[in-house]
Amino acid sequence: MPQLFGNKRLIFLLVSIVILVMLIGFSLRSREELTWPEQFVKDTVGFVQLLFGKPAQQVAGFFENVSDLRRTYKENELLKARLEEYAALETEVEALRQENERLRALLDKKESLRDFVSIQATVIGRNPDRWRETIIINKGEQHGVKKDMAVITPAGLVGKVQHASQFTSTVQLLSALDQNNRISAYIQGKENVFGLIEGYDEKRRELLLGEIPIDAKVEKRQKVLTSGLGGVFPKGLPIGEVTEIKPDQYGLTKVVYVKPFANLYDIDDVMIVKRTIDAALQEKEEAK
Amino acid sequence: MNKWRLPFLAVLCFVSESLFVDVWPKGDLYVHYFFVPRFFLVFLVFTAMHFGGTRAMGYGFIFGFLYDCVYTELLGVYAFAYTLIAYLAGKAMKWFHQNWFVASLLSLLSIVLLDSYVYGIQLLIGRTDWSFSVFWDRRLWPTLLLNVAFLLVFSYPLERRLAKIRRFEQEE
Repeated sequence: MPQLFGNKRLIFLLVSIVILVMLIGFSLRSREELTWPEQFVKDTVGFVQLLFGKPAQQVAGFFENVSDLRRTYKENELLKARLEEYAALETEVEALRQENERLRALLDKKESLRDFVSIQATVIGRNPDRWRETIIINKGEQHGVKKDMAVITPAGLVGKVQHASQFTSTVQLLSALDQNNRISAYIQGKENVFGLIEGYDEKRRELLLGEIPIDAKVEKRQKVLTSGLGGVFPKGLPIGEVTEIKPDQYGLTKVVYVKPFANLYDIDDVMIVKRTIDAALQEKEEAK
Repeated sequence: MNKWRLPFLAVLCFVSESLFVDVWPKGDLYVHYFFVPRFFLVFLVFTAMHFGGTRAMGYGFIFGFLYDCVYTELLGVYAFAYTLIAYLAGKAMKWFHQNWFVASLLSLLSIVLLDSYVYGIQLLIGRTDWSFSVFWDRRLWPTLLLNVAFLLVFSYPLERRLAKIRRFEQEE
């Protein structure tokens, strides 16, 4: 049996294991920003991915279209029915918006946590090993993306920006949320109930909303929205709908299961949401 | 021109992993089972067979590092594993007959090795609480299945391609 490693190589192997452990330790620290070599590598690979990705996505898109065609009739019927509701709703929303603006003008309060501008982005890659569900999008710091910004699809919240490099960024999906990345949210009702999105139940495919007072009134099918407290999320981004309410393991608070509105897996185009109040505050500070 | 053929193939295998996951239909199958494409690892083992372990190690280190930077943000994990697997594959090729069937089997073995190793690291740093049997059912089997399918279709063309590249390089 020939020897697998010579003496020198064995030492080399051991040294590399030590370096490996050090590197893992380095990457595990909660980092504000990636180092510039990492950013550079990310942007370069992102560019290559874009080159190869466009044709591949078009081919895949064609097959998807074919399967969509089969469902079209059914969906069309449903949408027609919805359209009438929509017209009524729209006039109501318009009336409310005008009233809101008038009242704000009265109060002389111009900025709100609700206002935001969005940046359109396309998914150019995914983490293939999927130990942590992340996607890579084609907008970065140069386009105004910053760490921790909310990422949404038209249906609702899907994740937050984990790291932004110059021309691409990594988005952590809600399904990969961990204890260090909680999102402040509230349940819409007569009295709003505030809580924190703490994790994701993989079996039920639902989010866990915790830290809810035990005496709070929560019902099924109530809507859950972002609260805009803490962090850089705007207020009022839809997250999901309450499906079940349980006391937590100590019986001191409640845990609520929330079914997300957005599909957390099938994501092609996203919007990164930037709160306008932050920009306004920054301008004020700079003016001083 | 000729010296760019192998790197181009490497980039293609590397990028196709991410694309594959992106394009794969996101049904229940996707959510419950983890079909992880390991196309680059297959490429690495085949390269070790044709061009020797040293060169494969170079590719393994560079692209492993890219993988760490771009996808997992956990530096060193894949760089280390890819380099080590390239080294072992280079060694193993000296003991066996060099043909694409042996290389395919070795690729599957390396996939098992790599995935178990990555699972071990995730367990160690507390990013997963899967027991080994869950890992076995939901990740290892589907991954092997996917890559067997990949090998069935692409192992022979890949082998031909690499042999051709080697001939081109020898002519120079």
